[in-house]
Formats: sequence, structure tokens, C-alpha cells
Amino acid sequence: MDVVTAIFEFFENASKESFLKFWNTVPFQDSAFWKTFWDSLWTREGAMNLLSYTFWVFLVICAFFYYLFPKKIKPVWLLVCSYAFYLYDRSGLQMVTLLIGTTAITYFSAIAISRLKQVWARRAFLLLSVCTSGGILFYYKYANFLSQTWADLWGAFGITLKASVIDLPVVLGLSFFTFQSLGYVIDVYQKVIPAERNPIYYALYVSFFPCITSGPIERAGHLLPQFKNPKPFNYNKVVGGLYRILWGVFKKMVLAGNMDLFTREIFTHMEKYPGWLLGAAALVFSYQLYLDFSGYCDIAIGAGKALGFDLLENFNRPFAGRSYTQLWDRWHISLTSWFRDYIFTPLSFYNRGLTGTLGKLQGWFNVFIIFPISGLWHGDNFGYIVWGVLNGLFMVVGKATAKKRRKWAKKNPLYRSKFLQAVVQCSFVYLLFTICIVFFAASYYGQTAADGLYLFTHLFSTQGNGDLIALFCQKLELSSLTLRVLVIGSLFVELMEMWGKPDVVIRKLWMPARWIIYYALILSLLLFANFGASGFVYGTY
Amino acid sequence: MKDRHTVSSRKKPSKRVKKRIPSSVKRFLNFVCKWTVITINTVIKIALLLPIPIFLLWYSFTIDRNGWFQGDQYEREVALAMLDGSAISNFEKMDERQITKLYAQNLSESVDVISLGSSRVLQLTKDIVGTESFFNAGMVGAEQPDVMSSYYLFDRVDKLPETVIFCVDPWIFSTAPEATAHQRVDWQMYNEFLHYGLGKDVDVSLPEENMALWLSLTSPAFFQENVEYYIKNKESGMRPSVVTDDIYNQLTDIKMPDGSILYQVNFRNLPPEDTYHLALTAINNSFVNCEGFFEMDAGMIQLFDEFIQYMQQKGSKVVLMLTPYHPVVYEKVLEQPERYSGFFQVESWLRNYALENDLALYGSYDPLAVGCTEEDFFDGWHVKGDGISKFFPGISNVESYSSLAEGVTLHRLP
Repeated sequence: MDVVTAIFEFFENASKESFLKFWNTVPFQDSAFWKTFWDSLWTREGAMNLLSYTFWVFLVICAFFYYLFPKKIKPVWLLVCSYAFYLYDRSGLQMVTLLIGTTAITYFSAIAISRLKQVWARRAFLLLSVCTSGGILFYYKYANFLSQTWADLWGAFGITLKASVIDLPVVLGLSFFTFQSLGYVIDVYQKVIPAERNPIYYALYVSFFPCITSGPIERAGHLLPQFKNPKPFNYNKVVGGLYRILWGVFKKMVLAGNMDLFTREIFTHMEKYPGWLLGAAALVFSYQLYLDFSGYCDIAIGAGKALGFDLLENFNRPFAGRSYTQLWDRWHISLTSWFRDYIFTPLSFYNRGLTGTLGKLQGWFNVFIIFPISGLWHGDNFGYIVWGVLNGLFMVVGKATAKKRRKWAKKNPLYRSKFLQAVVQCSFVYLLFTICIVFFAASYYGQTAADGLYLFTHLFSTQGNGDLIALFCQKLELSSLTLRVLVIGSLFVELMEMWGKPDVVIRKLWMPARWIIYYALILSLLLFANFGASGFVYGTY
Repeated sequence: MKDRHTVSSRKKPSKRVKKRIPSSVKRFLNFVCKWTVITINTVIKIALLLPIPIFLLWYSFTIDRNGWFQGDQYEREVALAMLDGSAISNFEKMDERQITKLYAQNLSESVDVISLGSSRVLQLTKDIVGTESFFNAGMVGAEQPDVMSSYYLFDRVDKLPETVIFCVDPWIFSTAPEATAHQRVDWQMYNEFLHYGLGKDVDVSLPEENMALWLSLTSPAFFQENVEYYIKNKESGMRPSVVTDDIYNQLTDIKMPDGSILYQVNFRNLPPEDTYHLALTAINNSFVNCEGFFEMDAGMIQLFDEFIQYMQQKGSKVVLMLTPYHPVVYEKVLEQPERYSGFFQVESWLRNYALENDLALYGSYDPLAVGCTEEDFFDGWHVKGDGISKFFPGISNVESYSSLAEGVTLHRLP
């Protein structure tokens, strides 16, 4: 018997009496009930989770007053809300000091850069910002990692050094707000945008709550004008935003959450399972990561829309990319474009004089170097660095062989059918991406880069009993219905997103169809969501 | 675009059309109409969505896997079956407070030893204690009021035990919201205990409504648990049943006749690496009931002291027990001394208290201090019976704290 039958049977056996008993017993009319409910929302244990009632109530309150207040008060109110969001975590006092410090230094540096004429002085302030933001990021993310690596290095030569571990708190959104503020200062330095004089707007730009936890990494040129010219209440946009939140929650909790049960088990017990199951877990993790992170971005973008703002889109169906370059143009767009604009472009500019083989090599190096840096940005684990290095290599090889591959493609009989060509290319790109993601997954599940390597060396192993029924039904408690929901849900997500952005598409639908989708998503959430997996993969960066 | 616009407007000066500014009345009416339409639209949409939360609440209320809302129709059967020496399955739905109350009421004579505490003591069996006359009155999710009420349950029917093994959980000294959610507390019984047991001025006729319990109905996770419970137990009619076949090979948790819990076979046989991951996931999520516990509450300390004195005055010998946490949990907690400062105060305070009051105290929250390893745990919070045996010698060997002081070194307190 499955979940659907359980629900049907409930309605079959339901009676007016049982409903009245429920209605009259539950103390809805008692103010103490609602007070307790209200109190339960603000327990302040850990950061505010975007998947909690707390966040949704917080968003409603924030949006309600935002639309109510006059134009001049709006940014102040949003800033108050953003800091309240940040300070929701009881241990947020140290974290908020870092946020305020980064905001203040980059704000004044940008103003100084815009006013000063001497190149050296402008550079000095740019350097100050880079060192401050980069220093904070470096210290809080890599101090312990470096200390440990240093000790390990000496250990390899037989010299025992004790790694000094500093008790550092996990700073909420550190990787995101430092990049955002750094991007702004560089833009001002390059005269792409003028320096923002109003500290309220700038502080709001750095701390805007929908995107501070895990992005998208906003650009000042995109967000600041929206703060300055807030749009009036737009019913369609707000409802679209709320639907986008629901869409993201569905992707995260129903699809990624259940996939997480499977991949977590395999990645943390690799020695127990046969090679083909390890491979399957790696393939699933690629898609799980996409659903998890893009689900989070949907929630952030939806929250932004509910407040009348358009945040940057972070994903554009990456696995529909036909080449590795295309995949990276569609994956974590805000970070990729950040690296492109602030690392790749300046590097290319400074090396523009190089020609011939040297120029080519330098170009490849510029492409390559972004990825190990991106790996480091993700976390203090060698797995992420290996992930970055592999991605960089694939990108360089892809660029180096592009012309030849295009030539061969013309002769490839498989490519006579456009559809077949698309399938082959997308599958190949997905496979390459998965090869890299194995190290990412190993790091995410608390394993080492060596564990990632273990997976490849044991891909053809027949160890473990491979009893799928025992694994799925007993250990993971994933019913066949849940697996069907996963497959159908994933196809549904791909089809809907192929059609356009979820919040736009839904408004195009005929009202009954729209409501069928609302109900289907909410009911599948209630019945199939993995409520244990409420943390986001990118929430840890 | 702006420049182009400026140029073209210079070439062809358009006729200036005077815009008619609507009157303030008209603007006001526009505003009212707009917002009336939006409000009606929103109310209709909310009304269309409302059946979902109502269904969620109704379903959880009706199925009620923990037996919080549907009354005590089965608890009597369970209590009587346990007294009859039977092991029971499908007991999760039952109200453990009610079962203990009925168990005490139906006892023909006092048991020699009872144990009090949360689920962290539920692995203490009569074999470990070393007497046939033992009842484990531990309760899942027990908070301070539960623990104290459960002793009173035996007092009110005049079936007091000779010895009480009081497994002290750290959170009973906390007033943080998590430790005082009071999800399952029997307030009427607690008020009775305060009034008749400790002589406090409490109105026993007006038990407080437990609102926190009702809130669980709003939890989607609780709804899912109810659906799962319905599916699993449909065949057995969701009633408690006496286990007739091999009790050690059951797929559901079993309530043993001595009140202890025998976890389902899959959970009991989890390999240590699975247990480790379970524990790690749990502690990364939260340190159960100890979040926001920064300092031992003076009121709770006072109440604890009064409770100990009350038990001693009633003639029961009190043995304190501290069950350890999984090593990885304790390590993680050690890494955050500020976050869990209240927790770290408890053990030292209890040891001093035991010393001053000549009470026997066994165990430690620190697994290393009592020789427990990862193999001794079911998950992050629950130590196995074998683990308890490592530090508890049985009731016949209990000595006063002073002789045990050397046995445990709390070298790992921050």
C-alpha cells in the first residue's frame, strides 16, 4: 500500500463527525495557540532557513510593510530586514561585524577611487578593498586548512608539527557578500559604474537578504538602480515570485532531497557497493546538485520578485549545453561571470601583447586558472581543488580542440540527425561534468579527494551484494512511488524550464491548469519531500 | 537612446498635450478600487489554498501516531500486558505518561527499583540493573516536569520504590525554548506533584493547555510520519499488540515488560560507520534540547534539589546516572564551548552536588571518561545496554559517590 492509497482511504473513512471533532478540539480560536505558533517561529537557533515557516512569515511581513511605506523609507526598511535576517542567528554578532566592516571599507574605498585622480592612489584604495575583503574571506575559510596542510606537508617528511586550529565561526554568506562588494569596487575603479554615495543603498546592496546566504552574486549596476527606483506593487509579479519560491522548494525538497538519500548513502559507504552503483550515484549527484542549488536560487529570486526586484538568473538549463563552454555559460552564471569579468578579462587584457604559441598558451592558462580558484572558493578541501583543476583542463582541451572537433562532426554519421547530435553532445558534456563532480561530492559528504579517486578505480568492481531492494526500500525507505515521482518530477522541471522562467510561464497558463500545478506541487511536497534535508549544498560556502 | 530622443524632439516639436491631472477624489477612488480588487483576489486565492493546511492538520490529528490527541483507549491494554510480562509492539502511538500512570496504578506491590529519565535511559534493563523487580519509567522526549511527575505517579498510589536510578539529562536545568517546549508534558500531573509532592502553591484544578503539542499538527514532517505510520500499521489496525514470535527480530520498536525499549532489529544492527554518520548528521543539525542553553537556571537547580530531597524523604535511595553521548557528538560539542556553556556546567555541578549530598553517581556525558566507544551507541544520543554496563555495576554494587570520585576524570571539559 502506498501513500496515495493512504490518503484516499483517509477520505473514504472520513466523516462529518470526525471533521467536527477535529475542528472543535484544535484550539484555533484560542489566542494562546497563535501566540505559541508565533513564538515558535523565532527560536533563533542557527541561521534563518529559506525552507522554514520562519522565513516565509518574515518575507510576508517584510513585503507587506515594504509596499506600505513611502519611497524614501523603503530602502531603510529593507536594510533593517536584511540585518534582522542576518542577526536572526544568535551567534551572528561576530558575523555582522564582518559584514558591516566589509561594507564600510568598500563603500569609502569606492568613493575615494571615484574622487581621486592619481592612478597610484586609486590603485591603493582598490588594493585596500581587495586585501580587506579577500583577507577576511581567506582568513575565515582557509586559515585552518592552510595550517593543517602545512603540518601535513612536514608530516610527509617525517617531521611532526601540530596544526594550530583556530576556533572560527562559520560566517553566513561570507563568500557571497565579499565577492559582491569586491565586484562593486572593481567596477567603480574601471569606471563601469559611478560610486554610490548613499550608504543606505550600498549597505542594502551588500546585505540584501534574499541573496546573502548563497547568492546569486549580484552586480551593483544591476541591483542599485532597482533600489533607487522601487516599483509599485504588481500583483502578477508578486504572485509569480511566490510561485517561483514554491518551484524552488519543490526542486530542493522533493527532487534533490530524495536524491540526497541515495547519493549520501553511496558516497559515505563506497566500499559496500558495486562499481555500477557508484557510477550511478555520481551521475545522480550532478543532477541533484543542479536541483539543489537552482532550487535555492529560485527561492531567492522568488523572494526578490515578491519585493518587486529582479535578481540575476543563476542557471539556464546547464545540461542542455552542447559543449563544456556552453555548460559553464549556463551554470552558476553569477559566479562564472564574476570570474570572467574580474579575473579572466583583466588577465587577458594584461597579456594582450602576447602572440603566437605563447599567446595561445597564455589564453588557455587564463581559462584554466579560473576553475581551481573557483574550486578554492567552494571550500577548504582538496576535493574542490581537484574538481576545479579537472574542469579547467576540460575547458582548455575543449577550446584547443574545438576546430578539429567541428571538422570531425561534419563527417560523423551520427550527427546527421540533429536530435541524435544533441543527445550525444549533451550526454558527453554531462559525463565530463560528472567526472569532475565526483570530487566535489566526496568533499561535500565529508570525504577526501582520495575517496573520489576510489570511485573511479572501483567503477568496474563487483563488490557488495548490490541488493537494490534492500537498499532502496529498507535502508533509504524510498518507495517505488517516490522513485516515479523523482523521474516524472525531473522531466516536468526540465520541460517547464525549457518553456521559460517558471514565474513567467505559470502566468501564461489557463487558471485551472495553474491551480492543478499549485496543488500538485504542494501535495507532492507534503507527501514526498525529504524534510531531513533542509540544508542547501551551497549554504555551506 | 536618450540622445536620439533629444535630437528627434528638436526636429519635430510635438504638440504639447496638457495632461489632465485627476482630482484627488478620483485618485482616491482609483486607489480604493485597485486595492479592493487586489484584496478580493488575494482572499479568493487564500481560500482556494486553505483546504491543504486544513487537510494537513486534520489528517495528523486523526491518525495521531504518538497518541497525543486521540485519548487513552489503548494505554490500559498496554499497561496491563506489560504487568502480565508481555512485550508490546505498536506502542509509539500510546501516551507513555498515561502508560506509566496506569502501570503504577495496577501494580500489585511496589517494585524495588525504578529508573527515571528520557529515552536516553530506556536501554536500562532489569538484567543490567540486576534485579527482577525493576521498572524503567523513562519517557521519550522527557523534560524536567515529566521526570518529576513520573516518580510522583508511584507516590500517589503508594507504591514507592526502594531505589530510584535518576538518569539526569542536562536540559532539565535549562529554560531555553527548546528544552521547555513541553510537547508531551502531563501538566495536570505535574501540578499535582508540585502541590502535593513539593507543597507548592499550585492550582491543580486548572491544568494549562499544552499549546506546543497542538503546534506539532502544523509540521509537514509530522504529517509524513503519520502517513508512514498509517501505511505500516494498517494491517494490525494500528493497535498495540503482544509480540508472540522472536522479539529480537522485529521490524518495529518493542516496549519490554520492564519498561525498557528494544529498538527494531535494523536499527540495533547498524554498523558503527552508519551510527557515526547518524550521530554526525544529528549534531550538525542541533544538539537536542541543549541549543540556547547558556547557563544552568537557578530555579531549575532549586527544583532539582527539592525533588531529590522529596524522594529521599519518601524513603527512596537515589542513584544518579549520566548516560554518555556518542563520541563524535561530544567532540563537536567540545568544539563549541560558548554555544553549549550551560551543558558543560551541568556535569561538574552534579558531581559536586552528589559529593555534598552523599549520592551515588555513575557515568558521564563524556563517552571517553566512562570507556564507551562508537560501538556502544545506537545513534548520537542513545547508548546501548552494553555501554551502560561499562560504567554501572548493578544495583547491588552501588556505593556512595565519594568512593567513585576517582573513577571518572573530567579532563575534557572546556
